[in-house]
This record gives sequence, structure tokens and C-alpha cells, in this order.
Amino acid sequence: MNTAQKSSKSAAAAPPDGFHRLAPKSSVRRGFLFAAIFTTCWIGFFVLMFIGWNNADKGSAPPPLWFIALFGVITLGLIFWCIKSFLRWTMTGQTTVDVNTASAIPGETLEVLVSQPGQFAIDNCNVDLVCQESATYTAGTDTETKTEIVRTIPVCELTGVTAANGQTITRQGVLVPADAMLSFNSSNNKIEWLIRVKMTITRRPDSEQLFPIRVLSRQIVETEAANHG
Amino acid sequence: MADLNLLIDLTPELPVYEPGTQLKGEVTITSPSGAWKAEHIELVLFWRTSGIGTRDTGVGASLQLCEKGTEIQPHFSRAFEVTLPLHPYSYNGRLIKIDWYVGLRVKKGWLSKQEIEFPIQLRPAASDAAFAGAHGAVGFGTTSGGII
Repeated sequence: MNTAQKSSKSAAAAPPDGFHRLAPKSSVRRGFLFAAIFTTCWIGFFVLMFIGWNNADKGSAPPPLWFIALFGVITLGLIFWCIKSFLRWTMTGQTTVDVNTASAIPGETLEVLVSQPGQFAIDNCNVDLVCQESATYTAGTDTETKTEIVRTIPVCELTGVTAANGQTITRQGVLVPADAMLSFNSSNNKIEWLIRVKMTITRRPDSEQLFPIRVLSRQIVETEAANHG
Repeated sequence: MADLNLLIDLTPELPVYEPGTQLKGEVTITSPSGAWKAEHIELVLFWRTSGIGTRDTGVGASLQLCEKGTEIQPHFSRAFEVTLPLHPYSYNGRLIKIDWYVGLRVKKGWLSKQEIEFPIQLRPAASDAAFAGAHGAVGFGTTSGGII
């Protein structure tokens, strides 16, 4: 096996002095667990339904073929999703993003460090600072959330880089726009800034991970600092 | 019953107000039916979201303009000064819109409650051009919002 294809992983090193590690919006491990639990519940439901049909009175009609086919297709899709999440967790791993400030300030430069566990070649890596709106609303008895990325500020686009056991793969500065809307979070509406890291990797699942970062005005940051002594 | 005339005047009246600065103005309440007793007269600086999501509101500052049970003359006028909040900025996005208002809430008795809202824009002046260019300028209406 080529060294570039090894999947050995190492714990990500602590962030450099003066840097803060951003928590992922959803970790790859949590993503896999969610997929696994959902898929298991779905298959369990499928099995219980068929046991119920088999134990029903002889006179009752068997489930129609289209119904079985539909359930089967959905089940296969879920298994595929589960396997992909598992491979993303075990083969690609959790990207880490460190930034030089706990809160980004409009008009100032934000330094971004991206690290990747494992040892493999990354074909393409795009890092962006994005602004996403999320609105939650009620439709009938359901509560739904719609999200949309409304602004994208490219941080960097890399090709042919190598992940080296959690070492930094890129260190870039990005200017937070002076007219950037500040992070906002109310019960049903949210404006969120995220560092988005997208990777295309040969023979491994592609990866897209999001890391929320607060964007606040200097006045708010100073007020918060004063309030916290 | 809308028997009071409510008015909010901001001095100066600006297209955009800078967060953290002082907002000054005067409220005027006229009562054609003579003097009356107020349950409360309150000036409220608040924001409200609109758009696809369920509406959220928040209060940035509020000011009581009289004591409960105060007799108010037919022509009542009171100057005010409040510090504008730092956050959130007025915003006009794709899914979410955040609007700020200066509101005057008057309660005369159990059943008599009147309110007016005066929309303001709260954001740093530096972001003005980009905001208008990216999201479309927000128009400004009357000096004394509608009775709701």
C-alpha cells in the first residue's frame, strides 16, 4: 500500500498559541451515528411490518409488490448513506479548523488554519467563509427549517496537497467584509457565518464540513470582554 | 378606540442610525376629548423579523414616560433619549428580514390601548452602500407610523 493511501489517523494537535479551535457543526462521527441509528430503525420497522403481515389472517392480502419495491429502494439508499458516513469517519476523518480570534470582526482579517488527520493525497480542497440564513416555520402540523447560503467569500482553493497526520494543510488570511451582517440567533431565525471546508479525495468519500464562527462588531466584543472582567 | 393622536419625532431624522449612539426625539399625544388618566405610556425600541420563518421580536430598550395613574393633559409632549443597541443590525436577506422600530405604546384603561411604530434603520454607516447594493435599499415612510 502506498504511503499516501494509508489511513492511519492521529489525534489533532492542540491549536497554536493564540488560536481557537472551531467546533464542527456536525462531526463526522455524529454523522455516522445518526445515519446508523436511522437506518437501523428503518430496517427494524421494515422487518416488524413483514412479521405482522406473515402473522395476519390467511385471508388478508399480501403487501403489493410496488410497496415492497419502494421500501427496498429506500432501505438500499439508507444502507449506502450509512456506509458512506462510516467511510468518511474512518477513512477521511474529522477536519479541524483553528482561527486566530474567538469572534471575527467585519473589516478585519481572520486567519484560518486547516488540518486533516490521516495520511493521504487530497485532490482538491476549497475553503470558504459563508453566511447562511436559517428560517424555521410551521407548515400544517410540521415544523420545517429552510436554509440558504447568501454569501460566499473564498478563503483558498488548493490542489494536490497531502494530509499528514493532523498537520496544518493550509494557513490563510481572509478579510471579513466590512458590510458583513453580524451573527444573529433568535427562536426561529438565524444568520450564521461558517468556515466551509470541501475536499475531493481519490478513493475516499468526498468531505464537506462546516465550522460555525461568530461575527461580531468590535464594540460588542469589547463590551463582552468588559462584562467578563 | 383610537381617540388619541400619537406622534414620534426623531431629531435628527436620519436614514441610518449608528448602533451604540443616542437616539433623540419627542413624543406627542393629543387627546381631542380632554384630559385622561394613563395606565402607562411607554417608548419601546424593538426589532421584528419577517420572511419565511416564524416571526421573532426582541426589545432593545424601553422607557416609561409617565407613572401609572398620571393625569395627562390634552396635549402631552415628552422629549426622550435612548442608547441604540449594538445588535442586531437591520437586515434584508433572502429568507430573513430584520426591522427596527421605535414604538409608542399607550394604555388608557382596560380596553383602550394604542400603539404606533416608526421604522428606523440600525446599522453602521460603513455598511450602507453595500447593504443597499446587495439587498435593495429600504424605503422610509412617514414620521409617525400607523396605528395598529
